[in-house]
Amino acid sequence: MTANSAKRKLTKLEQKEALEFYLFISPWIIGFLVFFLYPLGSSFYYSFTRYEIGGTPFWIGLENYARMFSDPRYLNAIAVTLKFALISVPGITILALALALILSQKLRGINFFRSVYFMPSVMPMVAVSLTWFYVLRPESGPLAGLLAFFGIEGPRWLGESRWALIALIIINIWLGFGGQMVIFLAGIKGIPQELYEVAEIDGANTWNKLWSVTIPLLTPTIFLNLVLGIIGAMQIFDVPWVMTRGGPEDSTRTYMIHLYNRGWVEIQMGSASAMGWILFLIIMAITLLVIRSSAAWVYYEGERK
Amino acid sequence: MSSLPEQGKQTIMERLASAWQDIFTSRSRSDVIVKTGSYTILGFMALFMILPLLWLINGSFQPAWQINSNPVIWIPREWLTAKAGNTNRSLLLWKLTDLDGKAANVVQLGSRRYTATIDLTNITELQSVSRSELSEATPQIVNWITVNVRLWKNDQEVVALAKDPKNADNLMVVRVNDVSAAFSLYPLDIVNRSKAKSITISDVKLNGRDLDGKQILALGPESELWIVGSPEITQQATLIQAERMGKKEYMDVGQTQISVYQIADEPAESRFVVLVQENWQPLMDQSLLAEKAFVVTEDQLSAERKSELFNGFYMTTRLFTPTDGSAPYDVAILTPGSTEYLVIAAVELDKLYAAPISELIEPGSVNIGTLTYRVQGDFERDGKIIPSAFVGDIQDLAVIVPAETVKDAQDVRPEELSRSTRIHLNVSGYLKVLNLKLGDTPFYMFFVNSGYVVLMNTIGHLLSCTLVAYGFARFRSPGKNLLFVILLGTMMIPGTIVTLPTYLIFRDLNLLGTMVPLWIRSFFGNAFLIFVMRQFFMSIPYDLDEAATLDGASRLQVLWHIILPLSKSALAMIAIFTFWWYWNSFLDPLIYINDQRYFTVTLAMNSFNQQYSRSAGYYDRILAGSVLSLLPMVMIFVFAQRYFIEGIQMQGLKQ
Repeated sequence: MTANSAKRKLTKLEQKEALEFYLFISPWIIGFLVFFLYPLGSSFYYSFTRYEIGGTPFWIGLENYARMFSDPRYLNAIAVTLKFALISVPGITILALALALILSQKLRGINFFRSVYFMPSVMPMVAVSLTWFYVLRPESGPLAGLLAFFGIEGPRWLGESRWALIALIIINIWLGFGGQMVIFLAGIKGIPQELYEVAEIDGANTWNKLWSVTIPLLTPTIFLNLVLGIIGAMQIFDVPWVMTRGGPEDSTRTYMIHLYNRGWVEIQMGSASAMGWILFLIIMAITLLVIRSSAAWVYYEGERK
Repeated sequence: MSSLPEQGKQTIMERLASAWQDIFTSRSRSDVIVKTGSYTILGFMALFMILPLLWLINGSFQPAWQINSNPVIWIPREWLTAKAGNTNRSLLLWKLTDLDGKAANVVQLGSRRYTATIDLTNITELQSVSRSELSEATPQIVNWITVNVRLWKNDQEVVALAKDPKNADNLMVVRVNDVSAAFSLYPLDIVNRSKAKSITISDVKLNGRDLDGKQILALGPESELWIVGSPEITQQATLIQAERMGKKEYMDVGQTQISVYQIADEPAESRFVVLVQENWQPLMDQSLLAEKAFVVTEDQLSAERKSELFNGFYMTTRLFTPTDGSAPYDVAILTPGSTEYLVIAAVELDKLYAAPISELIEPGSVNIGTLTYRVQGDFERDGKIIPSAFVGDIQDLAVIVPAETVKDAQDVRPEELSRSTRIHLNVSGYLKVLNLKLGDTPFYMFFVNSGYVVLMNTIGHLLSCTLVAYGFARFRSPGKNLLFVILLGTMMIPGTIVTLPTYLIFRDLNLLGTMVPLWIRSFFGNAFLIFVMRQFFMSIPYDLDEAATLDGASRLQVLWHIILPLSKSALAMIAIFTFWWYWNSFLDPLIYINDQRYFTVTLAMNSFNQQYSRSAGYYDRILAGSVLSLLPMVMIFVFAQRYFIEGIQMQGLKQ
């Protein structure tokens, strides 16, 4: 229908409606062009230039890219960010799914638990980072106090390069898990009850039902959570910035911290643009990888339009 | 299962018993196990989620020293203090546990250095031992006294008294077991004042002292003992200029001696104990200073300077001749400059007070013309915060009490004492952070700034997102589907990629250094919110639009009069999500805002943390500030939780 109507000439009334449509959505179109498409294009151009602020962009071809990949600090930032994202995001998803499954049995207090788990996600990251900064303090922090109670001497979390990233991963799980759990809860609620009834008639026990009905039907949600989580985690900035500034020994210097330093501290706009593009490509590559692999494990209902 | 009316009559015990029976008789025993397991996991997770926040709130009610204390203090406490008479000084109370296990509060009356000594009277023989056979000297308690003990040939405890004059590699030692009764502690000052007397044992000359008829030898280690007494004496305390302290004497009290002083202008026979002597800074209520003080030049002042006491504090006064020809009067110099002076009429000085400079941490400064004076913005006096200006010169003051009030005193090792505390929610962190300034900007301004950013973004989103969403929901037009796919696609694209070029756009528009970049983009819509709004509009029957259009209403009128009144919950969601994102946003303010006047709360907290996270005295303020910064979010979350949950679930839908 729509394909046909696009080809034939529009009537006066239809033209008026189209005009009105574009008027109504014009704010978004302008915003899309000015604050999305143009920056995307211009940063692509800048990425091939040397561009110090106040100066003019000077074409240097692929030099920014070549230089970046021979910079050990940059490669380290990629490694740190990948480690951070690829550990914390699946961690969040598994934990969120498990807790959502537990909560979805008709338990009392579901609302209370849901609120408690979800609350950290709405907190300002800076305040959360400060909180954890003090929670993790060696010796006088509450975590150290708790460990001391069991006779364990905890590490100097943020002060040791071995532990700092682990601490950030724990914090990211703490922050992100509630949001994903809420999505899973909605997903579980959306599973038609008949499917369970049919399974029961076939003699399925709780375990069978979980593995053959709930999980398969949740795979699209799991998939979405993984993709959104990875996109978010690859761009992490606030928490490591406030807590460690990327230290100690660059062990928490994430991609965005590196990019921020390059762009706003060293004021190398060209090479920072190149980094932005590489981050974009990395995220797209991971997302595509997840999408590709999804064919193998994501179950889509046939009735999708 | 019991019927309802019956249940009302059951006591809790009966109900518990029947529930317990249910577990073992019903066929749902595995259910119970699953439930218990589930609740255990849920509970642990809830603790993990909530403990850091609880600790934050807890910590914000602790004074800085507790936040930094090791071992950890779990419940906010306060140091117990005794107010020293009518002075503005509080003395710490210490908890002393006696041998019976009874604890009492004490105050420190003084301290004295002691040294371990050995009584040489009964020692007849020393042994010369090679240093290589001796271990290092380590302090060890012998007969209640700490002595430097060495191990000889790894098994015998000895104490070295001197070098062997005949063999430089050897030390003259005695066995600890033979002489343990001869050790005692003497005040170092008494040992040093006593007569030197050398004694020769085993042909070695020892540089001993003659004390109370005993021949003693000071061995070390030196240790400091505190003299403590009952806290009641502080009621009589007064603050005096330390220059009035006269000759020092020792007075026997209890089993120890305390040092007492004559005080000038007091009766010659009375003696006083000095509880603390330290530097004090005269202070004046800043608002009084702002109102009454003025700047004068050198030529308006008399050459003659007087140093006069006001409320016990010395201030320099000079005669000031007003230019309007009125009668000259005395003014006190508050802040001297090279050619100008900040002064105040001497009659105003009856409101002068002071504080020990150890309590004045990192004050700010205020400029008046060429002059600068310092201000403690968070000075606490009688439980109130009074911004106080530093005036005049630092003074050496002493808190004294009459010696006759000290009825009892004893020596204790400092490590036997612990601070006396009690449970107390301390709000001074909050009071202090509210009085805090970053540069010249008071703390509440950051909340105003954040509020402004949130408000502008909310207006922007409400306007743009409803218009655009209405467009997508209600119009037919070529290209619409493609545009909608693009809109959804932008949600999947990492936003940070445009951060830097967007910054350059705002630079080219000359908008850096203003708050505009923090909100203007909201007026051009947000993909996610447009999507949410469109889904909502789609659920409103189109008939309503049609009916209104037939009545001659324009599309805008339909949106305004028909659709929006039905969309309150969707509008609320837009507002709430906007609040959430922009109250919490950090990278954008960090990039666009350099001027502290425009700092948002997150930015202020971050730079505040960077500035002070190494100075333990500011921890209370950082934690209290963090609580305040997340309070608005918590409130919104508590009252509008379902919007957050629904919105998050929409994210799960958008595939």
